[in-house]
Amino acid sequence: MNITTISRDNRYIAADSSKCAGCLTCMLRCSFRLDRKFNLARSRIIVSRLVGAENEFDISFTPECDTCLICARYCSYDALTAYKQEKEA
Amino acid sequence: MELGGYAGNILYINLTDGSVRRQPLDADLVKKYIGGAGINNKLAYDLIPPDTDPLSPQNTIILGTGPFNGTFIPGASQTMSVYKSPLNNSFPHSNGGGIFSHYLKSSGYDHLAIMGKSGKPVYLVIEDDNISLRDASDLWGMDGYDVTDELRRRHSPCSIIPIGPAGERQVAISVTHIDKVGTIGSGGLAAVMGSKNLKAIVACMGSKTIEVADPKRLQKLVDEILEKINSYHLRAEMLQGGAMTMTKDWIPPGMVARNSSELIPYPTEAGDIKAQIYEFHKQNRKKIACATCPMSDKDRIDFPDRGLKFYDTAVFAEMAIMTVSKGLGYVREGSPADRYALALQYYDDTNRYGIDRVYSFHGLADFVITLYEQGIINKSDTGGLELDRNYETLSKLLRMTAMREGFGDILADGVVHAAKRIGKGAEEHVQNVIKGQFVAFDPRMTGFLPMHLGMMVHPGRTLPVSAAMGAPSYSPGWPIKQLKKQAERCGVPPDIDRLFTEDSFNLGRLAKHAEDFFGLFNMLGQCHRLYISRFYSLQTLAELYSAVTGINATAADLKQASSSMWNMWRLLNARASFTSKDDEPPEIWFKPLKSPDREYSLYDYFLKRELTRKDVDGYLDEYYDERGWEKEFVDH
Repeated sequence: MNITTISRDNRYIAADSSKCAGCLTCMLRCSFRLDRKFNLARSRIIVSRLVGAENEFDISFTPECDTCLICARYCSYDALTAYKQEKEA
Repeated sequence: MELGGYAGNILYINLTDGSVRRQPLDADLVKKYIGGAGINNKLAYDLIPPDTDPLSPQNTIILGTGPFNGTFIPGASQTMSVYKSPLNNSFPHSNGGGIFSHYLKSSGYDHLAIMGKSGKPVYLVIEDDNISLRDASDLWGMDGYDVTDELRRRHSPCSIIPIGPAGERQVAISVTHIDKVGTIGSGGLAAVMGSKNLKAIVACMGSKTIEVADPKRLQKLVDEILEKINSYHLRAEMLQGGAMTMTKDWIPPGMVARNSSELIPYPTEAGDIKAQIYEFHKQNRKKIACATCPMSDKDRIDFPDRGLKFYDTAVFAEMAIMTVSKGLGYVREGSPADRYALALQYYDDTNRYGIDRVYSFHGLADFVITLYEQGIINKSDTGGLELDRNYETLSKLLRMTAMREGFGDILADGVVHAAKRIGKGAEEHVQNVIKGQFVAFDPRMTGFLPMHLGMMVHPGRTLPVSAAMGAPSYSPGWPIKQLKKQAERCGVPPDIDRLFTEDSFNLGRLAKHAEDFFGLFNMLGQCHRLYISRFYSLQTLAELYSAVTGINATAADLKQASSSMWNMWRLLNARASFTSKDDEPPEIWFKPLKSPDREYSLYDYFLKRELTRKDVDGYLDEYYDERGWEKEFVDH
């Protein structure tokens, strides 16, 4: 299991790359949310195939990721989990 | 281009001189042919003279995507291919998954046309505007999986269509795959690549944008589809078991063997073994999905204690138990895990070599083993190899065919060529073969289904088999009410008298409409496998198409465009000298399939009435009539 986490403000994403099936939906959702267009290279979440590792994937986030959580919302394979922490009053 | 959904270019590559040309996708072309298989047809018509030798530089490999590829529409993963087939001189359509279509479009191309012949082994790399042919001398000889691994090391992130040893040797029954997960090119695409000295096509992730006309509408439509998918009652189980979930409870009565004359029953313990294999499959399965697919029907099965990992695993549960059948590939003893490992090893070898197992090799192996059993051939013909139905023999034949070694060279170009070369009357024994490929799913076992008509009429297999009519195409006897419901989803009004009566339907006529619906998937870039296509109706496709492209198309408009695609496909093959004579059913369908306890004859869809040749000819005539085709084709 290889968990990557990213957080910003009160939002967290935990990425478990062992569950990733490589469907690219998160990247397409991310770029669509930014521009209402599709561009894999603009995505702030990056799913890359681990070279030499037989269709295993690595999930990472670019520094520009603002943890909007859209990628986690649309992940079909539970590889991305979103957490929102309630702000203290 | 001004229309949404398209990358906007066709890329032409001439391997002879290494020249590259980009042609903007013309809006009128797109409006008429939509994309994918539609535009592929048009390119094939324009670029490949009908009398072209398939293994000559004049043949052109055409790969295409549709307007849905590159978006997040669930199941928008397919790459479509057409070329002239060295197996039977037809123009077969085929499609495969993985992520190739998305990466190709991310570099700005909707279609590829690869022509000519390189003087030395090369592979093609597409990365945005940089198109390069690179030396593949060091890759030549690698199998299809090893070369994929090597090219991933060099070019990731990328998607790869490679060839293995069979393609290199221009074996006509070759096939290839995308990203080790989806096969493409039944009919010898790999041989055509091999004839061009093209080892692989690599699409790198590019930087181009796919715009859509109405993003808000598209998002809403896709969210609605996802809601249906997420509430599908089999989804949770499918996420565990993959495609095998669909057939886990089904086991055919036996394996069709001895040149399609006998049904060799499975032993009684086959059901238990299958159940144990399914559990093993679920526990050791790494999910792999094609682009945007939420169903993950691709997988890798790990045998951790044996250090084995296999791809393209048993889609059908009965494939997993192949070694228990005395029909072909028999192994006397072994645990369910042993048996599954052996079955997967065989599939793995097949894929690494790049051999079409389903529509060619399986039937061909049975064909020559049967000739051997009947004494028509002997060891002097096979180069000393004793032919029996055991696993080891099957593996040896596979290797010899892929490598064109000895007797394998005779098998490498398909059953029709093999019979001719064997002589001794072997040609008389070519049965259950249409247009040079074997009939999978013998209709005497299943009842006559719409897909059997598709197999008769259209060359190649994947599109016509899938295009028949969704779930009812694969299993007989659905109640007419259910069939009408399916038909409505496919955009066929259930109140057309010539299609439906109160308790039956006209198979020939309905097949035309079902094909028109499923043909659209291959034009738009959608996967037509039933567990994803079931969430789409003709109306949904039309709404998605309008939201993506900005072309305000009705369901009827799309269906008409698909109908034109099927017509153009017919035209392509008619120009290559195919006639209605080639569509005739194999005579063996009208002879009983014998098993020890009963005989199986050809029955109708409802398994109520035995069919004669005249009945099947009638289906064909009605199909032609519904399509508006003359029986004898005239190119107007």
